[in-house]
Amino acid sequence: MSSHREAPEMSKDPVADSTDLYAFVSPDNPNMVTIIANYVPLQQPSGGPNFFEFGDDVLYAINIDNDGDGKADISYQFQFHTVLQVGGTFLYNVGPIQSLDSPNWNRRQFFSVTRTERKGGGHKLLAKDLACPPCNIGPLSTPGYADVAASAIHDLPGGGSRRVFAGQRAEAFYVDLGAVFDLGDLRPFEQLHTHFGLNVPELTRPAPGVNATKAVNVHSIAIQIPKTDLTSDGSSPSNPMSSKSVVGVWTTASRRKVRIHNAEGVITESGPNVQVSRLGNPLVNEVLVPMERKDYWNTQLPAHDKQFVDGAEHPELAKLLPILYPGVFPNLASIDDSNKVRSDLVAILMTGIPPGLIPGFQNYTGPVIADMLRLNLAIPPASKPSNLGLIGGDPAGYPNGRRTFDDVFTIELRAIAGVTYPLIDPAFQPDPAASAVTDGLTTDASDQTAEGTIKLLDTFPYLGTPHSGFDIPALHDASV
Amino acid sequence: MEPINRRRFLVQGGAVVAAAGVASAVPFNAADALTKGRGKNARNATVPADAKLGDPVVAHLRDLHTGEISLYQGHREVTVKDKHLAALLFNASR
Repeated sequence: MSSHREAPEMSKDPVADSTDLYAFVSPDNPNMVTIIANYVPLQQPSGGPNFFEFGDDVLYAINIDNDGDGKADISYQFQFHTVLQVGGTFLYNVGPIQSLDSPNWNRRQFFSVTRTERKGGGHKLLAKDLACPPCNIGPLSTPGYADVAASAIHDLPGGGSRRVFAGQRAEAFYVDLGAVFDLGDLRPFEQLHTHFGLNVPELTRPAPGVNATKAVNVHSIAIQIPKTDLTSDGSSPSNPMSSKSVVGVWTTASRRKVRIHNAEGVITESGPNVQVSRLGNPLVNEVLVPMERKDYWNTQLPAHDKQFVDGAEHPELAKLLPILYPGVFPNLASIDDSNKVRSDLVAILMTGIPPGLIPGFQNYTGPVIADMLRLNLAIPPASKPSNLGLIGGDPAGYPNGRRTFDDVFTIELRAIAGVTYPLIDPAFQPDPAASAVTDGLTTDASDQTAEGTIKLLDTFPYLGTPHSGFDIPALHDASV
Repeated sequence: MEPINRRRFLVQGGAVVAAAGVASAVPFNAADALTKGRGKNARNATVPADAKLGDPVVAHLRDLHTGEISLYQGHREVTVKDKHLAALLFNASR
């Protein structure tokens, strides 16, 4: 998945597991940038009575590099604390929750926001005791859920529509996990799969994709801030070709170094915070880093990503596609056979795309190899977005930042299959299949309503109202 | 210095045994080291009468032979190299 359960140890620690990161110029307010970091993956909406929440023992952060060194110049840190308001009950709520201060709501969570700056060592508490919304339980427990959740959008100091939200949302990332992790099956093309010599009649004809994440929720930390809060000189960029227009973004989760479970059930934590999870571009740790290094990758700064660059230079998946789909990717196989470096992927994922490769576009942060989601702040929102982002002719989409509806699985699959190789070798002809492969969850590039994304909002926090446990008593029982 | 007694460490130190099978509780002098510098008082076995531990101190004895010990208190981490202290901790944990 994008980064859900992407590393062996992190898969056992969901509250600290960064799953998706979005960064885009806000379509309804182009002076602002929205950054969303998702955690706590694959929530079955009915999972009570201990419904999902952030970790009080986790330090969450959204980090911004505005000088291209792969280190955080600005960080927004989020820390949570949980309050039992009712007590003496096993229930999450003892009656309907119709407001954020409902006396019926037993287990509530609050958070603080702190902005830190590397230069000068600034450390400013922006807000504290901000209320999270409840989880979406059902029509009796959380009636009027959307309105209650909307009241958990908080203004931040400084004016200018600075806002923050932290709480449950509907999953927006879509992918056909069930097929993809079955040895690289892509249902729309599964008749072309090698099948490993097995006789599997149901794989002999194309089939539509199935969104494995269509009925699950996540926990989102969303912040909307002026562009001027992120740039190195405090400007609002207007020239897409200026290096000052590009920022790198990633999210991290950190835990205290020592945790002791005392016999009486009390937990003692000690020591400084250490990073246990991170996420910049989707699917990097998932697909490009070997399993034995994934948890180590999670502990590293983007500035140190040169040690992982081989995964982008010679991606395993690029070698697998011609094997799994014999005869479908001969030109890709020729790249693999020649052992050429995939500098196109290195640019997209690790440095940004330099000026001169795509007319009028760049999101280059310099030569430092660093997995960051790079956003050119001078590129305005698209009037007719393509869910294929840049490879769909839409420079406002991934890999220029990432919007909630971008089909990042298909974009990265096609890039690995060779559609972006002409960026570095104009003579290369991508295989016809390279621009067609998909897991089949969108109808075309203008489709912003892939299954599971139908609840997306037009305004902050953009990710949709979470699925309710009442509506989704068991995953995929309902056709949501 | 008074003889080391494992139970006395745990009760008087209020510290917590941690990690790796070779870590153990630490006496007040190690806690003192956390607040007064990198191990300069690690051999000082006395503490002021009004000293209070506050947050528990956790010791991670990383290398018995070099005496490398990481000490954690609150959000702080201090690494000291003290073969004598390492030996005391190791023996106390046996």
